[in-house]
Amino acid sequence: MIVQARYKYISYTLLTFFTVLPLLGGFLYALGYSFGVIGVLKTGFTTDHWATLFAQGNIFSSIFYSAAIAATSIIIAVFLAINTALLLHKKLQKGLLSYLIYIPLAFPGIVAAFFIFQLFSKSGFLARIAFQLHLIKDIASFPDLINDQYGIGIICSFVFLLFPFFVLLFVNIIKTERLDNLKEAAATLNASPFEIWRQVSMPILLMRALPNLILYFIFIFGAFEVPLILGRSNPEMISVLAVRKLQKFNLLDLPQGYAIAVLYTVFVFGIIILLFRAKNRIDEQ
Amino acid sequence: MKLFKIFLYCLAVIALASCAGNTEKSNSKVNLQSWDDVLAAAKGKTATMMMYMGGDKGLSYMNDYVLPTLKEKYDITLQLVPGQGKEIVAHVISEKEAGKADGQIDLVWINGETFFQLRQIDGLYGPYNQYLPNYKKVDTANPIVQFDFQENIGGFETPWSIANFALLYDSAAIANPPHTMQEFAAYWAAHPGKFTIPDDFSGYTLIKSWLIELSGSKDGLDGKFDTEKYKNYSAQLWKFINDNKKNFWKNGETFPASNTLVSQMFASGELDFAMSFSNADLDIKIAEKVFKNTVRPLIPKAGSIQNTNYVGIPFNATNKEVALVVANFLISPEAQAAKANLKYSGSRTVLNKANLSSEERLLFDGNNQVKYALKVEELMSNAIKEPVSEYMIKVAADFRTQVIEKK
Repeated sequence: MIVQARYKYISYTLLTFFTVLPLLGGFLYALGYSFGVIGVLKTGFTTDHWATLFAQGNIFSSIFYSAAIAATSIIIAVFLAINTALLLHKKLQKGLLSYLIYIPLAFPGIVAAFFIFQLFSKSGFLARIAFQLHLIKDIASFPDLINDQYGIGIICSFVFLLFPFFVLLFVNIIKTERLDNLKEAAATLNASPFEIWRQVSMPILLMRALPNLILYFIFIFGAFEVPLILGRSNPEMISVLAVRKLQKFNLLDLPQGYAIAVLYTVFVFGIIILLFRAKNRIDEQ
Repeated sequence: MKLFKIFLYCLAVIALASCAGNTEKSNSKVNLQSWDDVLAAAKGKTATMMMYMGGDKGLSYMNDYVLPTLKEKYDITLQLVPGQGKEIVAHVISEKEAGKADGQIDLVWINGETFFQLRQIDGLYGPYNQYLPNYKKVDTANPIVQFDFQENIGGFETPWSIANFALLYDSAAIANPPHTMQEFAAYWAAHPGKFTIPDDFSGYTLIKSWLIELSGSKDGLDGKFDTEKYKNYSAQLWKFINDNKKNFWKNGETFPASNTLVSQMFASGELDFAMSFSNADLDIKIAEKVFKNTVRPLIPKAGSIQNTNYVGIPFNATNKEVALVVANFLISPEAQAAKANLKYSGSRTVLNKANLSSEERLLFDGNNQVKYALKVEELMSNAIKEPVSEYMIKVAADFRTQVIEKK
């Protein structure tokens, strides 16, 4: 018992030093900064920075835009990855395909973003091919696929980056849940292939993958390089907005940058708490 | 209850950790009156310089010329770390807040609002220029050198080179390029989608050129920041841009984040104009075949905004004596002549040739001259001073709220 208790304290200490302490310290610092009580710009407690931030309003459009981009990217990537995994999970375990599918893993986000930029911009590779083939009359009439209104370029990059992760995830779930056996059982009960897909495969895969999917949502929600290169100047994804406030010309924007960081942390923490509550409830059932 | 215990435990650890961190070290004091003492103190040491590391030529000047020469002449090792503008300010701020007496950065490449903000927070060491033996060769009578965005440098930063603003266009495609704002508006209407303003200092400089044009005279924005003037001219300017932006790239619904992107799109034919802050860069880009040899500089009606960039020493630099030796070397005739060579960045020197000996002047004469870029006489006759930094800060904020975020 004593030895166990000692291990418990060692693990708490490690957790404190490497995770809780830096995060809590950073959070309190950002909080203090945003209320004007810490830092070179301190003026004594003030809510001015928060008021300015909320009055500008782009913080809300940023949060909404980031969430929409993250959700859309994940839904598309999940749909592609689930069906790839269901169709090909046997072939994915060995042979050429098992290598090819993981190629996107070799691309860091920023490289993928440049790659999409080179491919899709109006003076890019695809535009030039379309021009040479006389599909468009000049390169400027190539459709807006990057720095565009709907974030198509950003979503393409994320789908490209997430796809192999999700395939890997779903292939593993198919194995551990013995999905093939369940599908056979359903088939013997006269279920059609579409019914099996809709009522057996999809629910099981989605339920088991949900915690991971939400973590990926958070990851994309806070992404920086990809929206920086492929996004528009308005609205901006939340990290791009925060970095602009923290690093661009006006020194007096710093406290607003910290206020965004605080909001961001609270938002993500909220999602994580909801996620684990929901997970516990599912596990109890 | 368990959570509360963990929380208390964390607080105790924080309290302990913060007690341990508060020991300050003091920097070594060097006798600045004797340059030999400074040189002796710097010998064998290493200093760290934070600079913008995006430009190939500027970087090759540092890596292929400055670093080896410093090592050879003074036995000094200079390390370069990337960082510019507000990153530098943020770095100095965080060290100041942490009470760090032995700062990590000894030298920074700055100007304009970065200098202004660093001075605001007392983040720079100085005044020290008077101790640098080469400083007497600097063209301090030139207001563009002595005043950084109209702030007197007061010995808190050392001039390094002069930059000037111009637009670039293809003279083979455009026979009569626009100069005035009205001519630009007519051009945009005739060629929609081929112009944009980068959301960075190059774009803000074009905007400031237009503010000066609206003021009606070259020195219209000189002097301290004038709220009334700014309100008046900027309101006209935002209206001008908003009325015309439907003819900009992507219908003016978005603006590229940097002039680097704009230059790429200019080179590939997607845009008709790019911007440039380095005069000789045009010759370099044409030699590299990035731009066609028919690309030419274009000065807006108001003139070419010119400014100087500088090196400064953070207030808490650990190796101040090394930083001083480096700053003095950077304004030596040989280092300035090398920087003016097209092999490196082809920068305009901050030295006054009248203050140089005939041998020192010869160093500059060996350089090849620019062929396509503006000649020194054209630059001088069109020069306008950079307005005080508050204009840049205001323009950056308002360009976003009044143009980018306006539907």
